[in-house]
Amino acid sequence: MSRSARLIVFAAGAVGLAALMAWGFAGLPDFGGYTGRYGRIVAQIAGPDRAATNTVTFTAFDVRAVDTLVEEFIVFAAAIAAVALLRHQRGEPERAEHPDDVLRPRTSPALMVVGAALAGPTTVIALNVIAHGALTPGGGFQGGVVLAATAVVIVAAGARVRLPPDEPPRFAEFIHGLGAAGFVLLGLAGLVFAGAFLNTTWAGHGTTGALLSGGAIPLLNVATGLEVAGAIIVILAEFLEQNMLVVEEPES
Amino acid sequence: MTAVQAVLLVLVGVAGTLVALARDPLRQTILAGIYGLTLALLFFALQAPDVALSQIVVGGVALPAMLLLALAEVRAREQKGDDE
Repeated sequence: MSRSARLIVFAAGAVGLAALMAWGFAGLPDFGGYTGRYGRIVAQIAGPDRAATNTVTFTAFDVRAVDTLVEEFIVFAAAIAAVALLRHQRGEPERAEHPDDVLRPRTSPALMVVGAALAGPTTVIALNVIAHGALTPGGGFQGGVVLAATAVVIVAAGARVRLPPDEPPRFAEFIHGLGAAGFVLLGLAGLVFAGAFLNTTWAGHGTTGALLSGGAIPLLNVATGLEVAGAIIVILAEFLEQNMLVVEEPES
Repeated sequence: MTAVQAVLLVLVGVAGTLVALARDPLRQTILAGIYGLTLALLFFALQAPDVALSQIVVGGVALPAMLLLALAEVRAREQKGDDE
């Protein structure tokens, strides 16, 4: 088909699509225009029943906690799949012979200064976002990614690391598993103490607005934060090891 | 819809178009990060701060970091191929 014929077909399709989209968008409710009943019920019980001031986190970690559990295991599986795939393609005989080599990041002085300045504040922000999940916007997922970014910042600042050549970084792997197991165990605690899997009321409500309020929601946020941070560090470490890190020369 | 929301919607459209038009993968990755941040601003203007935070960490941190590391990986392999 010639170029002009293709353009004519494209133009006809584009006009048709634009007309359909305009028709569809014209019938949409405005942003925030919600007519369902579910959302209103959830918003009404979040405060009085759970002392959770962030209805979004209350939805994700209480009434819809099973969804969050499944999402958490998606991240868990993704990290394991990344490790399995990248390990398979690697084959680095020289690294395997010296498992105790200290790796040094390939970094620049400017990056070291920025990294050193950012490491502390980002750690505090990450912990703050995780801890206040039930109160203000944020939670385990967002804080967990920031926590993982902190690890990258620390490496960019020039931290020397020791990575085993044939497995993911052990500490990240540990907190990754700990977070996933913790979420399930907290769910089972709901089954034992409150009669339903992932029921969060067993931990007590606390005072509205206090750091430890909202039943088990803060605990579930901590578990999610650990899991997400660990998983993302595991995934990034797979790339980092091959690109940004070089074996440190013994100092002469 | 308020003026702020309308302006941010247009900004998201412009940023998305720029990502699609960029040809250099490195430039595209950085533009994708900026696009993610404009999207976060839009979510914030639509009173969804939780989603905005998720968008910041995924679109502004995690996705560009993974893409940049993948690009570094590809370049390292290409260099290795040139050396041999």
